[in-house]
Amino acid sequence: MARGAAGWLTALALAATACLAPPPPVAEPPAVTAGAGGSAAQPPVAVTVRADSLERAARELTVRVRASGCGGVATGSGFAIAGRALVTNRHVVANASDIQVNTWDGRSLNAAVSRVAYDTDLALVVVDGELPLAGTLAPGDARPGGQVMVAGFPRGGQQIVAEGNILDYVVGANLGNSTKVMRLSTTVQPGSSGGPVIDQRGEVAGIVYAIELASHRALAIPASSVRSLLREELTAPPALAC
Amino acid sequence: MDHLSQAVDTRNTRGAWTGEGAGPVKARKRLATARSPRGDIARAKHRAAGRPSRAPREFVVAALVVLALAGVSTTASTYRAGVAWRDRANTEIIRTQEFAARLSDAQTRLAAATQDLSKAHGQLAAATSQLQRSEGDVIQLERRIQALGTEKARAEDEREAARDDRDRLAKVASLAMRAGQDIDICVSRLSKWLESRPLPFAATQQGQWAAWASSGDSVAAACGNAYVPNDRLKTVLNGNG
Repeated sequence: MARGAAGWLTALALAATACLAPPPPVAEPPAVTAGAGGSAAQPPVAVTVRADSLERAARELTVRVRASGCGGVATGSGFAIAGRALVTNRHVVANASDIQVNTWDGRSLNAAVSRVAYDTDLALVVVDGELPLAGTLAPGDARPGGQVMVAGFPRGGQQIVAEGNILDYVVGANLGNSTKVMRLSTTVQPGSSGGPVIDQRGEVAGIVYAIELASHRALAIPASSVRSLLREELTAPPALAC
Repeated sequence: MDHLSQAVDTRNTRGAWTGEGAGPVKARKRLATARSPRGDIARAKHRAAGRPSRAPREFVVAALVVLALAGVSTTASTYRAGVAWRDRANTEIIRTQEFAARLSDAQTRLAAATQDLSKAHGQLAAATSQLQRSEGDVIQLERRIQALGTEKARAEDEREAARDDRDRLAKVASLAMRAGQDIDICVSRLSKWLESRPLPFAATQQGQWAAWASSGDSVAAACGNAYVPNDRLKTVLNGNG
């Protein structure tokens, strides 16, 4: 009997506790934004440079350089570094009395040597018109194994953009260059001298200046040397030998 | 008698409350027992025990009071909770109605937005198709421009080469003319010098021979000058000039 009464009392207490519990707090309704638009703060979109965009950029910033002088007419390549300035090899414009630049879209611009590097095969050339696209030098030298594109006008013909990668860096003393030299897996021909080496970010990682005779692979001067050329004081262009 | 009736009433009351042994038969039996001598003995024992029978009554009364208070409290609290739940229910009903209105509004907007979206999808597909065609056209045009640019550059190369050849030929012609003139002067002076030589057997005219020989120095100088443009001409023709 006593147990039954205690059970009833316990049940009554529990029921009273449940009834006496205050109602739970009312949840605020979710905010409904007007219209069907998305949220204002959108996640950042990762920008990737497509290969065809890189190739197009390579085509547009590469120019064809024609140097007329004592030895006749010679052609090479170069790339725009500013709206009216380009970088090419010193040997492309050496002994040239007349320099002309052809852009990818068929324009011809008169040019003149602004400065040359004494210890590397580099020259800075200014033109009398706007170049289509100016390239950006890579902040540092690219790592070996990285994929690159090499643009140029082999034998003065149609522009070629070839893909390859950086093999390694070697000492340039035996390769006609005082600084280190970038070896590429891409094969090039005469006329490609001065062409840019473009990395996957679309920046200029180097400039082709020679062919490795054993393998016909391209040798390039790294971007750090090009940067030092741009920092050098003005130097007179080389005197004509004829 | 008073005691008896009191005892009977009390027992009946307790029996009725507890529900134990209540009823006329049992009451008569208890009355008979109370009237018997054995009942007197029981009453005496009961009196000797003092007043212990009052304790359960007080406990019962206290329990009843506590239960009454608890009931009242529970009732009040339940009433209060019920009022709160009713308010809550009213609030929720109002909110539900608001939500229903907003939901209806959102569904209307969603339907309109879906329609706009599908329309935009169609426009995007058309624009994408057009863009792809345009991109294809642009790429073809770019290639054509590049090819024409290359042809133009090569033509300019040939023009430059022709201009270079022209300049070189002009230089060669100029040097050749200069060399020819100098050689002509040399030959003319040499011829005159030879014609002006003295007679071979004029032994007495030794002074004339010496004068003639000395006049040959100018001829040699003139002919020596003719070598300069000639050498330059050779240099240019060899492609080194």
